[in-house]
Amino acid sequence: MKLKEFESKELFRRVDIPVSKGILIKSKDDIPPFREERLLKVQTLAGGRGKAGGVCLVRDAGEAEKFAARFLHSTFMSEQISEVLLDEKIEIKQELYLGILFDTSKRTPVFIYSESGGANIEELKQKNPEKIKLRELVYHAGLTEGDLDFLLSGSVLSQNVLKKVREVMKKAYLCFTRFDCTMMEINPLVVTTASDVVAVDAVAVLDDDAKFRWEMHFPERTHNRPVTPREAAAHLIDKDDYRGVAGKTFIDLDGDIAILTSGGGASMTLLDALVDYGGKPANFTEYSGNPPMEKVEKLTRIVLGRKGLSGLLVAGVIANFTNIAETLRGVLNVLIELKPDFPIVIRRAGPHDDEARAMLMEAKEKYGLNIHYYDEKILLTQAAKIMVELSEKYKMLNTRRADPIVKKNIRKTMVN
Amino acid sequence: MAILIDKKTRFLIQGITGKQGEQACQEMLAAGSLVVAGVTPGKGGMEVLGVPVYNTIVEAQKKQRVDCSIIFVPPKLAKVAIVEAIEAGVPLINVVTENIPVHDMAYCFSLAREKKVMIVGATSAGIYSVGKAKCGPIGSGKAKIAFTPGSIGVISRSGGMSCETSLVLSQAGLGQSTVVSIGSDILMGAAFAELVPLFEKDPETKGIVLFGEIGGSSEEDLAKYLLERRKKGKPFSKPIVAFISGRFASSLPAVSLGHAGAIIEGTKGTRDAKVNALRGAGVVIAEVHHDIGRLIKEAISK
Repeated sequence: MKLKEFESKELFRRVDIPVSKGILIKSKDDIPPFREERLLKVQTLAGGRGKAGGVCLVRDAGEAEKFAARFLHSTFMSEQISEVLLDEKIEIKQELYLGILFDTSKRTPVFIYSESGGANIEELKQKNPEKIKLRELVYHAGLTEGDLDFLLSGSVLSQNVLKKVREVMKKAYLCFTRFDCTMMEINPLVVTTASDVVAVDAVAVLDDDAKFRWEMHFPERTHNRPVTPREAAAHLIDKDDYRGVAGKTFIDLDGDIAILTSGGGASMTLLDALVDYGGKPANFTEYSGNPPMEKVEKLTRIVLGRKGLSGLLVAGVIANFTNIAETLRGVLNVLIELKPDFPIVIRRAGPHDDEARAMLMEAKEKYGLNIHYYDEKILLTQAAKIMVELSEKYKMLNTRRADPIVKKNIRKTMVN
Repeated sequence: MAILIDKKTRFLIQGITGKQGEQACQEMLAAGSLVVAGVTPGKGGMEVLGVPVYNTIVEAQKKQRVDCSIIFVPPKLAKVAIVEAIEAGVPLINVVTENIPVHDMAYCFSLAREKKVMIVGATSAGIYSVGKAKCGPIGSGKAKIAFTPGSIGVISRSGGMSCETSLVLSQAGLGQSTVVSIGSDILMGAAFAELVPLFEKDPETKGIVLFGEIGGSSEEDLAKYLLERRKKGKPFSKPIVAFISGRFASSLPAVSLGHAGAIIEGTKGTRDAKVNALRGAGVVIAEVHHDIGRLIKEAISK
């Protein structure tokens, strides 16, 4: 989970990293009267807000109110903004950069330090890479004095400041390990005109897999945009029933082919193929781990609860343990209820798939459903191709039906 | 021949008394794997499907040699279990457990490097030397039908797609030597660059198929390895075909990770970067997944 500046600073305070003093503003009533220069900073998840105009110098409560009103509860950098931070204005002598993250090639934490911090750090990496120091750490040894000596060698800071920076580095590493950060960053770490060292901005990303031992908890966030009602409904499915997973991941998209997939890698491969063949997914969601029929039924209802669909694709790799008949019964229940006329392509194999085939074929006959069932003999990405072709045919037929002349002819044929 | 595991490999299952561990044990025995011991602290003296259970790995090692340990321990306790296996000197550790905190895995990887132990996983569906031995849940139940013995090595970042990839090959009339599910966590154990040299040395393997994903750097690391081999005048000797998923996923809203990510990773991690790096290093890219069968067939018959 990526944290916003004010949340990251809460972590920093817990490990005694000095941070600029700020007041969190959620509505204009939170702004206290003041009469000196302060900074108002929009709280975003994305970086680069300063360059996008999300940081502003204000001189009194009136100005702060004006700025806050412009951003609060509106969209900025495609994010819904619910907080701004009224921060003290620090007198800057020098900006430093400090970051810790994992290097996926080396499988080890890397400590990054530069005495040319600030917004242009990425350009610095291109132009003056020697100004950025990188140090691979040995995880089970921790951050050693040797590591710190390396990072601070060649420093231009005074002895007094250097000592303080060294302390901040140790605390930053403590923050990284203690709070299970996958990355943390202080940019800028400011040396003030009074020779203090203060974190003026803060980024931290927490490892969701370590949630069971997080010391602090933060409100859920999935995307930069607010969660849609369908997404919220899908996320609720797993709440009261811990058997299997259904709807944990649900993303509303703007296409016309409804999607029910199983398994992360398979889902991605399937959607790549669907899009390659010219299809447009209406959503992305998965179920896996042998969920009961009821959960699949709930998820199917959400997936199909949308107008203008031209197909439903239910697909996954050969299941080890998921009961194919039971899970597809959940899908079928909704199909019988809604009786859609668009094509339904199902590619599922695994335990009880013979039973599933018989059940689907019977329903196809009885309710006139446009079901196309395949087991492992048709490959996953071939199923995506079939879906797109059938959906195109369906749409063509529908356009023709909507055509007044064709409509008349159809009616004529029907009357005759 | 095969890589990592074969008929003679002596397996130990950590977490054998759990539901998943027991299920895998049954499937492994059925596939012909030599499961010699299980470990669950406090349950020493029990038996699971005829396999003796010990309290610790060291206790088990007093009775017999252990070549590979499979971890089925819940995520909160996985670090302790993996560290136990590393310190006991088990040369190969296959971590099946999902959702292990990344800091716990970072600790294990740094220790494993020091002790020269290979870790495959976490979030691995297992390793399958088809027709010889398997560890982990890979190829269990009905999924068995996807695998046939043969001469293509498979390495996959997705557990499910290790099965589907093998199915594509089997339908194209190509069997598999060993299928390795390497997981796709932020920090991964042995990945493409570490495993392709093993397939190169395996006389049975004629070609290698990879299933890659966006994120991380294992595809770029492989490209770098292959280019270094070329530079040394010893180009990699077997054909490699790769499919990289995630073209669609790249279009989904994502949260940027700040400057630190950009400084370390640069443009690594995107599908384009991976595809370009691999192509530049001589790997054939399949644009649609079910094409890998045809492409590797062409490549090995050249």
